[in-house]
Amino acid sequence: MVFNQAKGRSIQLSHSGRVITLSLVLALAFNLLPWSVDYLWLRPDFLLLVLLFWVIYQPARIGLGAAWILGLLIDLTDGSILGQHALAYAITVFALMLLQRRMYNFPPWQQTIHIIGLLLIEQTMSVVVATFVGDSFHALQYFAAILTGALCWIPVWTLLHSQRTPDAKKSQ
Amino acid sequence: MPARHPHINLFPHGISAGARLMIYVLFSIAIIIADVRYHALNLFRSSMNSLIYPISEIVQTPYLTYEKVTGFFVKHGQLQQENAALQQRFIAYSAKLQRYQDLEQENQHLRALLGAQSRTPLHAQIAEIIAIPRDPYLRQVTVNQGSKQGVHAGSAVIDEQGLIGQVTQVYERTSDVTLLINNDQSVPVAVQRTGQRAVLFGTGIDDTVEIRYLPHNTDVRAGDLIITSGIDGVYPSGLAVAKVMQIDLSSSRAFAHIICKPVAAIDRNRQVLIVDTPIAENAVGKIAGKP
Repeated sequence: MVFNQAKGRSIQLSHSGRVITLSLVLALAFNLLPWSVDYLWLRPDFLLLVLLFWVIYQPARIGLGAAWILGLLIDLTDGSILGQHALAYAITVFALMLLQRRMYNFPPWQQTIHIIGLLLIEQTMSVVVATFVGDSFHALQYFAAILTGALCWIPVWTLLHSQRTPDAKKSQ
Repeated sequence: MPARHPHINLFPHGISAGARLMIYVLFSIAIIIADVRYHALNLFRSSMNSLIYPISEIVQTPYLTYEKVTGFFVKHGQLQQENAALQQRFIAYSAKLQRYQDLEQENQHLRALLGAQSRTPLHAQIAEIIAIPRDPYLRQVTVNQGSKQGVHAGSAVIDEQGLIGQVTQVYERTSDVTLLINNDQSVPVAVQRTGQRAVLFGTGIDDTVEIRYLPHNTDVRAGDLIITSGIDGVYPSGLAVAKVMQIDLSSSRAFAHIICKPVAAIDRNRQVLIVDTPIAENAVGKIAGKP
């Protein structure tokens, strides 16, 4: 008996690396889009959504390290405290890693419910960091971005799911 | 039969996810402390920012092109109307300007008579807001002028009505402007009617700033205009800052609680003016790193 070798392909490489990189860059670009000040509080975090998608479907490639670095990138582009979103992203992705097996098998609408919880974790962590650093928290509407983010989950899911490699499409 | 491994691999998956999370959390905390407490990462921030700048530039292009195209196809009638309104405003302003020039001359003359230092002229440059962070804690915006265009940290930023904020971080082609309403952003001000000096603080709430540390018996009324006093050498004097809205003189407080509303349209503008005075440059040198 050989135990140190997997019997089959343990995790299917359903997407090409190029698609993953391109989607993350596009999501970052979406986050940088100019947005009307009046609706700023509704702006969803596209980068986080795409990141969560990859953690569910490609956990061997996108994990804590990628989450941390992307979070740091968000801190740089937003001009917020360095490390604030990096910490929040890492913790959110860790929470998702605990749920990954079941999220993988859920239909997208059921994933949406979990996504709400995960986005809440991210928002709460960045609020906690900001509060520790000395800002006081006023705007409860800050959490509205969670709902718009969850609404964006199914479109994001559909878009990214359609980008599977031909191999992966055949096997399902 | 496969060849036997010379060593048994006890940990085929590397460090566990929990341990990795711990490492990342500790690393984040270290970075947060380095950034907030010691401002040690400003160089890293600005160098990374110039790397990210092309992306945000590309992202802005469709929007800017749309604006240009719609700007091109404006109705003739609309243009005419706008032109007429502008002309009327121009006439009104030129009358005021004539008076202003006269007053400025008179002021200079009087100052010369008094032997007082004459006022330094303002140097202003137009900048456009290109990004607003996705975070309610950050009352700050990014504008499209940076150190290449001669922007200095510490310069005041105004719109056509009054003070908006202060440049706090300068990158190569962009700079960050901390808004007046940012939590604990402070501006040395004076009440225009009485000349009473005070310090105005941001509260982190939209459209609200407050004056702290004024005694109860100060002569301040609702509706008073608050202007910059200019004694810090950072903000030029005489810029309109806020209007007093509400005064709470209850004796449970050690000082009068004066709530004001900024006169500038802080979150409505796209174009702003970055103003710096020759004095400001010296002063910024002294307070560098602590804008």
